Amino acid sequence: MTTLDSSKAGHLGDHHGHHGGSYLTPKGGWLTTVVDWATTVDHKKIGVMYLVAVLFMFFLGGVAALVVRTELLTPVRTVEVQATDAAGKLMVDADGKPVMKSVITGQWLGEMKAKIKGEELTSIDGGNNWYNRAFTLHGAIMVFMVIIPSIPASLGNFLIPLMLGAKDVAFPRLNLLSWYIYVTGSIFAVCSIIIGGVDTGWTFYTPYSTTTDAEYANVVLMVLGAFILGFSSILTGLNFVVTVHKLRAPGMGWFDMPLFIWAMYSTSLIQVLATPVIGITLLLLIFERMFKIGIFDPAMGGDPVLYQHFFWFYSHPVVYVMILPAFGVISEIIPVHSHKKIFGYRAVAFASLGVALVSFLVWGHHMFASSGELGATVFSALTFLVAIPTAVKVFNWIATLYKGSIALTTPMWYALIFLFLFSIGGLTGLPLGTLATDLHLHDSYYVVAHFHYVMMGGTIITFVGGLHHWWPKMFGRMYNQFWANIGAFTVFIGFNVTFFTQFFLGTQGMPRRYASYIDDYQIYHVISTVGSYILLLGFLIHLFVFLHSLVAGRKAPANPWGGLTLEWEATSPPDEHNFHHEPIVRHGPYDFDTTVPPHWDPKDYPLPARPKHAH
Amino acid sequence: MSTLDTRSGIGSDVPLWKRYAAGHHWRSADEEFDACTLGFWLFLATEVLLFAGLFCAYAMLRYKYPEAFLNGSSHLDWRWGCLNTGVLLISSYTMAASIRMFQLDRQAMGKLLLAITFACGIGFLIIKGLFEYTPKLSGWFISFDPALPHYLDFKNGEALGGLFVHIDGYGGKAPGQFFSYAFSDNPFEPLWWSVYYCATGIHALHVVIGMSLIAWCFFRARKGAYGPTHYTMVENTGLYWHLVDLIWIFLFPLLYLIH
Amino acid sequence: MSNAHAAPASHGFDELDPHGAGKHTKHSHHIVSGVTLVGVLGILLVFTALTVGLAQGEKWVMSYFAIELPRWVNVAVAMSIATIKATLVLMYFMLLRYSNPINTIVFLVCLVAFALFLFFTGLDINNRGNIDPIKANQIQAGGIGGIKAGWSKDAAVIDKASVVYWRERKLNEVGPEKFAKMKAAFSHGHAEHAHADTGPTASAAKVKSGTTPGLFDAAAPAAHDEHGGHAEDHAAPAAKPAAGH
Repeated sequence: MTTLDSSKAGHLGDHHGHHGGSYLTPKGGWLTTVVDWATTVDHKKIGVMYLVAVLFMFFLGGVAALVVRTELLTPVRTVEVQATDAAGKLMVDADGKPVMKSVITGQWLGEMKAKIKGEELTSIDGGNNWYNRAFTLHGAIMVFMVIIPSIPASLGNFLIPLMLGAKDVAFPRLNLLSWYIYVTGSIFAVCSIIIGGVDTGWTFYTPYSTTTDAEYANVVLMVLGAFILGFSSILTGLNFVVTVHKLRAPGMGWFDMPLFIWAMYSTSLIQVLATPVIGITLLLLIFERMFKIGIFDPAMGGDPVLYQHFFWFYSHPVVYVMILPAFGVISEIIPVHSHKKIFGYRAVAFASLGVALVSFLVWGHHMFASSGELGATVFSALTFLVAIPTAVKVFNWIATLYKGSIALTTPMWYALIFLFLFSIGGLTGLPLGTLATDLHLHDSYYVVAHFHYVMMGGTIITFVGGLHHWWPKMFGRMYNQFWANIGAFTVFIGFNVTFFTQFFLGTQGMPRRYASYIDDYQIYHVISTVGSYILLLGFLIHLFVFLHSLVAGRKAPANPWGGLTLEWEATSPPDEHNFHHEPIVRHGPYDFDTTVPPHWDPKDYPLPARPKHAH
Repeated sequence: MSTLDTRSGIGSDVPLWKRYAAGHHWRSADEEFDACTLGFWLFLATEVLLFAGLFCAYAMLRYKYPEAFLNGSSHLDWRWGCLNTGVLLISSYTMAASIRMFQLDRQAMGKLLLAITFACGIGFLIIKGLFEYTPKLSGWFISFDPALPHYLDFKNGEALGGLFVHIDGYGGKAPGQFFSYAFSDNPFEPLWWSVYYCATGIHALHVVIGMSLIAWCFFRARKGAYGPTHYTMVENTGLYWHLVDLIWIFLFPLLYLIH
Repeated sequence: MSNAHAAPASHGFDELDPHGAGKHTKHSHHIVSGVTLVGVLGILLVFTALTVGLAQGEKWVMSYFAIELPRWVNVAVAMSIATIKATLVLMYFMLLRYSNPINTIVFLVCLVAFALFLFFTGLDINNRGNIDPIKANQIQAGGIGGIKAGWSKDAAVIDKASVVYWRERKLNEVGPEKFAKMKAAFSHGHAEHAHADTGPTASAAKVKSGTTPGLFDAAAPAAHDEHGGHAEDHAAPAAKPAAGH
């Protein structure tokens, strides 16, 4: 049991944020600075570059989501009405019967497009196509370009070397390359959107993806974009695995690593093992579309369900690439902001690996309606394994909160929001994993609500929470806690209004991916759409809080929350080379009962008065 | 950190590999080497799983249409496949031996073996492209193709002064939509050709990538970049090349030896 | 427990490396002997010859004793030899035998993922329709066409199985006599194929899952009746339009 006072715990006791050599310090004029950032191999800068890129794509995906919700305010209909002549008089035929014509109502996107082109909206399909494109855009961008790289590539890049006490990731140049690959892939996707978008859904299922827009390059561009993004994901994952293996600070054994590192390690393993399969899948899909090779085409003897297996062998593990880093962030936020040692360190660590393992056994539960009976039964049974490691984690976090000295900071609010939303998301997954109930709920709004609770309520909420937790470290500025909290509450309310209603829609039979619906559903759709506008308001508040912090925030101390992991020993923002001296690990990452956090005055942070309890 | 001083006190006539210093974030060059190897093995794992998709498609479709695969495979000559297996195995040997030479600082031999490996890669591509792909896809044979005399009855064209000979009806064994071979016994044979061309084509692409890496190593080796204490690049190029060989070891019996 | 490392050990405790992680690190600078490399190459070439020989042997056994070996024999033999060869390459050329064990672990983990992929995909794809026949494969043998006969924009659209289309086209072009001659020549080009020896109607002689009975009437009208006995499994799907079209 080693207890160090703060002056020995770090080497930077007297450097509190006043150090000139921070990584953010410009190297010269603006051109020099831009070149410096564009060619940097510094993991911190690359992390920030990822953050900017991901937030930009989040904005695009969010706009698409709002378009989808706005279209759904009213159902798309073809209505028979009495025609009018040029003078505006109701028309009748020779027998005095009214002349009827079809009018399309409730189609916001189609009408807008028709207005822009100066045409009359004649076909319901035109507008429906635009709706299909909008939700595909939303899905593809949010999954491939936002959620997958959000925490691993931005926070992960920034924090992994810092938490390990290393100077950089194992392969810094590869790291920069993977950022450029990410940008290239995103550009492909954006090009595809500009030339007309894709209406296949984000899963690119055959035969949609091999037959729609046959004469255009949209689908190929979008698929190619996803293919390229896969490389970025692989390189980042590979880099992190090697970093964790080889660059831990002296004294840091596997079980002295912060739990964020464990989560990122598991994530990276999944990325390395699953992503190549989507690579070959998308490649075959491109061949299929361009050369009609027939492997996924039933008309030539191929099997479209084979495509679904290929796709989900990657995309199910990737669901855990999305959520595992969030688990890691929560495992950091909760102990730090309740100043209490994490409950069941090893259980949480092994649960991360457990999730990674289970993720490769359950992909078939995405295809209960299309796969065979035997496969579906086996996959359904295996699916329930997922509940074990995730529940272990949730219970451990709650046990950590118990009797902790909880500080209700913005990150902590987000962690609590996560626990609430993720529990709803997880529990509503059970009826979907159960074969019999799934066939009723399959492809309904229930599924939409479920995965938004897990992906957005899990990953995005945590991403924003993690951003608030490490913002002072990343940019050396504090933010306005009051307004950040207001933002958090707004997001929480908006989220639940948007998505909780969708559970009702789904159980009542509203299928996903439809622009039209019966009148009984309209009230739910209206509530949900209003919720999405509240959500927008919440994110705008956060945006202004962050911008205000960058411009006018007060300087952040090195360790604003009293964390014990190594990144809090560096200055805020950290130096170019992270630490003045290679840090030596003398305490565990969560030993709040025995260690004064670095850069803290023991007077501010008295240890619990129970030293005899030492083990 | 202690390796940073390797640059000091050494003159410019010292070979490049002796002057190599590990990246600033590594504790030693050995650590860096180990990390690079681990990183490369992770990359190889992704390559294996990339091919896993092709093997999986092969397995599922062969299980469904065994006769189509049988018929399709009967058009491949196992002797070409066997020859190519030999070429790749020998090149794998020369690659491994080349690394050994650099480890022993026998620069000339190391470079020679790299060149032989590269030549084997070219040989593989020639056999694949000129004697297998081209006739099967188009019906054009090169005049010294040993199989050609068998089909001369159906010759219907020549090109480049008789260097290439066209055999009527032989070509068209193309994947999917482009299949136009008239003598097939099985309606699913286009699928076999899809799998065949995807698998061997993506493998051939890896051969080309491997050859580019070998060429890069060769030019760096001419500048003396590799020696007993620093040969990471050759080592990893070797690993890549062996993986290409490894994939072919499985593709060869699966494609050529069906009966 | 996270503090366990901090207990100062009396026997040469290194503060920078309390777990002794660096002490046992096996750096991969092993130099394999030249003899080993040549030996491994020799064994690999021998095994290549062996796998070809065994494949020929299996065929000889089948024709000599007039028996039908189960299909898996071919695959099992070939894959076993390939696995041995691959192991040799991995251990000696790729130095897994000498390098850090973590590299071997990485490779094995990737093989496990590969195995899971194959196993569960096969489990589903190859067992559809066992309980509910409605979930069985419903595939139009050889396809329903809809693809173009060539690269150009105005190429004809094929409205049947492409194999049949091209067969009929060639028959019209060269006449049945030359067609038969060409088919014989191209099928015998690599005469190892046992079934090709029996000529154009060979497909009728055996039960072949994957062929459609009656598909080749144009070339082999006499063979039509023989299809009757084993037509059940494919005739039914062939009569229905393919799913999704």
